[in-house]
Amino acid sequence: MSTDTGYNFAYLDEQTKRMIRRAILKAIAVPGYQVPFASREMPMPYGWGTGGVQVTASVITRDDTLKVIDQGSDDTTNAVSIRKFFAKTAGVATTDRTTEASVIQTRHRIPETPLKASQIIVYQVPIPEPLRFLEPRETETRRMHALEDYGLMHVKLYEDIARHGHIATTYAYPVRVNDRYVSDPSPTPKFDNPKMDNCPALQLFGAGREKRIYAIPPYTKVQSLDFDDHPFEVQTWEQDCALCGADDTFLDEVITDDRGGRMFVCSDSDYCRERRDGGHVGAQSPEAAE
Amino acid sequence: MSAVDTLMPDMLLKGFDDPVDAGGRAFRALLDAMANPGTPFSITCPAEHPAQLSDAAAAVLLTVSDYATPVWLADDIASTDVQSYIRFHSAAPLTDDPAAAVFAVVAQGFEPLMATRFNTGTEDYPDRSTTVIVECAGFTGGTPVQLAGPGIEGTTRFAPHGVPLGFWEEMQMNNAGFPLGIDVILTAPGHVCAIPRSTLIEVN
Repeated sequence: MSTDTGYNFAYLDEQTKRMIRRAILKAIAVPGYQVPFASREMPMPYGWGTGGVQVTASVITRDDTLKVIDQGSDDTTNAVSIRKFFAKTAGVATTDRTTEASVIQTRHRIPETPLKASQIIVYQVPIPEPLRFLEPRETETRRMHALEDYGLMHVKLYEDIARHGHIATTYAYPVRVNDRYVSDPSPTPKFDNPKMDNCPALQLFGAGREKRIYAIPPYTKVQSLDFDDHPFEVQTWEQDCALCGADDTFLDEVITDDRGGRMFVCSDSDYCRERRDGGHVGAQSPEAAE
Repeated sequence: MSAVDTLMPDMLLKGFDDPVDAGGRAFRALLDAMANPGTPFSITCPAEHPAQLSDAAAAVLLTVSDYATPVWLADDIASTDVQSYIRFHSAAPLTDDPAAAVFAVVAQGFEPLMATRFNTGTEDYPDRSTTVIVECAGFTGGTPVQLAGPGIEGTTRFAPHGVPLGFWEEMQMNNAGFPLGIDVILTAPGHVCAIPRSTLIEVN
């Protein structure tokens, strides 16, 4: 099947898809382990989600409904262009509703609406190796994973505590998958880490420039690294969402004028809209102002 | 009758009707199977398949094997029909060495699997292990086992029949070697079910 763009279904050729599909199957069999794959050049620059796009292109079928988010939002440039890319090259239905999507590609957020079994979430990953900033040599980090030698990561978290009094890592917070591999959850805020644990959906991670694919199968233990006396905790805000009043979501700060005016709103635009449609009102929503 | 039919009677069996669409759907069945060990999934199958190979095993090979993946076939499967089917549709090189195989196919029957003859990967690259397609008669009616681990909510019971002799004991040993090990795709007519190395097995 081809589409009117002249490209193969979902852009990639079939041999490339087979190669990526094999990598994905092995990634699921060894949860959290980074499988090397022959990443292709895509018609977008590295850093724009080339890894995620290749994974999505390899799993998507005509029956799927695709949602793409960038920092929680469906309408930012990256999300819009990737959604258009697949609408054009694969002819698939797209949506911005989390509940209607069968495949969700994301940059740096996990939707607030809990994911369901049979959904697939594809993460765009810039640096898949959680140990990379501690040890630049690939040969060494590979050995460290093989030997389950994660002491260096704990030292790094300890140094955070020694310097700041708490673990200062707020995004790309390292997790241990299935009690074995330490993995990078991609630069999602650590707020989202608990959503990865025992998640009913299949989680796939694609890093295009670094040429790695890894996966977390459904219902898999995902533990954020911490210490007994400094347990893992997520960000909290003093404010509620200014538009929908939610007090349990990840909030973005929006500057509203040049005199220090600002508001905090849900980073997940779909979740926020759904709440507002459901009658929830925030301190600065138009309904409240009337 | 076309020229090809005249020249090679019975030789060329049809693969997928629409390789792109069917390949994508068959892969999703494989993906679901691997992500949900012990749960059977229906798989899109090729239009025709050689007699010695089930339709599901043929679907798996056509979906994921190609020139880059040496395939090993058990003796009772390695007929001329099967070999030419794989060569024509997937172009995968056939190998005699199970340790060199990326994919292997084991016939239905009671021959032990001998899991250790396949490639179990290396500590640095556990992904470079053999994926073994094990043909079985069906996914119910056999000795029940309890499965747990990644992809399984709590535990699940699974009782395929017609699996190799000592299969579950071998799979327990395979799991004990995690992250090294083979990954098994059980195939029965029209269906696949995966037992990756990460699955914990309790034989009752």
